[in-house]
Amino acid sequence: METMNHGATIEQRKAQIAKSKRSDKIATGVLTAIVVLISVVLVAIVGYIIVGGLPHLSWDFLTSESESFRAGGGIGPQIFNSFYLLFLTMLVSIPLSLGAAIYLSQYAPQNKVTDFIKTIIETLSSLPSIVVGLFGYLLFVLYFGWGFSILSGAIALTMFNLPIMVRVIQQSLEAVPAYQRDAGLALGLTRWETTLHILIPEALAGIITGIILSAGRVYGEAAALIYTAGQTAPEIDLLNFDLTDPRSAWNVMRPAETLAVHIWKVNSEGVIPDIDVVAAGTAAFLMICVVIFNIAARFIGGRIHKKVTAQ
Amino acid sequence: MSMQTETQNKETLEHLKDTQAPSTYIEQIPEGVSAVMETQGLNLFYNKTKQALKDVSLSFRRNEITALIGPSGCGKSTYLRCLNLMNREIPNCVFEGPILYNGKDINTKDVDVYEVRKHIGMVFQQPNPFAKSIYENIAFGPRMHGRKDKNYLNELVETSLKRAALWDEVKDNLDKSAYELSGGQQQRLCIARTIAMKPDVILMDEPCSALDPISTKKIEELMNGLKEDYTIIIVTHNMEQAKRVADYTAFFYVGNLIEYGNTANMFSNPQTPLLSDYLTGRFS
Repeated sequence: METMNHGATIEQRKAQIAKSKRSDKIATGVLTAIVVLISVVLVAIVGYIIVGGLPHLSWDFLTSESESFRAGGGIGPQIFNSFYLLFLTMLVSIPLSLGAAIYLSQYAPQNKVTDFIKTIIETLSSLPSIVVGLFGYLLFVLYFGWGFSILSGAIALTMFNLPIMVRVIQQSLEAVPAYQRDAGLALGLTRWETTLHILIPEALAGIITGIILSAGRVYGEAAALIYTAGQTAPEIDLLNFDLTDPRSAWNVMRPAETLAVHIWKVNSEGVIPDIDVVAAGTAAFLMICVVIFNIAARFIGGRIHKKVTAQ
Repeated sequence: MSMQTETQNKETLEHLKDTQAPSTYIEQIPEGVSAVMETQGLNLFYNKTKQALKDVSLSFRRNEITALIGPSGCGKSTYLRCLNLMNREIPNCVFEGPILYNGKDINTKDVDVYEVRKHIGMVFQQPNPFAKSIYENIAFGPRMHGRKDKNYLNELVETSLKRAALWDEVKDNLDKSAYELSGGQQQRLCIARTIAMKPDVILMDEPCSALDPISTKKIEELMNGLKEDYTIIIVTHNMEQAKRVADYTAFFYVGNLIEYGNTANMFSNPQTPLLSDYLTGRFS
């Protein structure tokens, strides 16, 4: 007994144990309180936006054009613009970020140049989106002469999105144990075959989750678009496939106000009488979409993982 | 490690440093006996400065099991990974010296490493099945090398699993994930995956060190059956295992090949002071 207690008396040891137990209880309590506080705040924000906006959501609101001066405008074109921009942004950023992430995690030599590139990507991923937007304005809108257009917006969003996607995909690939790669190489597969058929399937759940979560970010982005995709939503025709016609919904050279930009616009310089209604309804719709993106990310990621790994 | 062995270990190291060339005993393969693989004066460096293998010349007899033994860090695994050129995947690792496979040097610039690895398969320390179904784990490699015929693959999966003594345990669950198997089953699946490539030589890098005694026994029994068709080179940290499975044994110490010969002779009558010290547990 004497040696077990390191020379302390039994009473001292008992007091010590009681003290340890007490601090363990306090730590548990404090940590639980922090988590509860954060959860309450988050649920309150999401709840406020959805509860406040949900009553204003109607089929008419979601499909009709917005009004500039009168009440009763909708967000139809903005919804289409948001999804179209999201689609184009992903079309460019997914292949680019996959390529960069595969190179950085599998091919890049471990040296100072690679470390430098990784640092740059990390820095870019925390670049304020308004900076990306103004840079896009100077380069794409003015210098390249693309004007306020979907193209300018999509490329600006790609710049904003790319660093984060590269990091997420790179981390998913690096999480696959090295001995999986060895197994592929030892079967006489090339590095590329090993990456394509062993590493990517195993990392796919993480990659897809990352892509969908960043899609949520892109979808809700405003600052990067205000000066690139513009703040106007001209009347559009979904059935007009003449890509040079400014009235065609699919024309990438037309300006395109998105949902998030619309919220900013009506609140900052809107002159319509029902600003609150439009802003609340738009915010609720945006929030619901982002929630759906997040749930979908989990669900689809899990399903695909099951499918490719037979688990 | 006790105080005593530590001092002795140091002494042995000092002894090595003093003489530079420790006394070695390498049994030569008799004329007419076929060596499937051979290295001639193989040297390996990390970062151009740290030499991990020193002038290793060793031959492997066809259809026999050769064990590579020695204390941790002696270079036995590093040596093994030279034989299928896996060390080429490690940055800053350079190895020089002929590595003969069926008499042809494969350690050249223009050799097709992917072709080499089809003939010289490898089983790793950590069971590493792919995150795919049991069936896919076996069929994947051959399919990637162009064998797409469904009937052929079905039969190949069955025969490979039978050779690896796993068929009876998994035949009704071929679509299940390989990750649902136990560690020992996973390792036998990895052996089946290697067999499915129809290799000549199978390299095993401490294949049982992550397994329980019963799984270990199964794999050792398996190896005895496999040597009819394959040449097996196994790295093991377990001297009892080497005694049980290996026909020939090579003993490595700090990058040097110290002793090579018939397993029974080596264990009962070591020819070098280093091996006899190692066998009596004077260092490990």
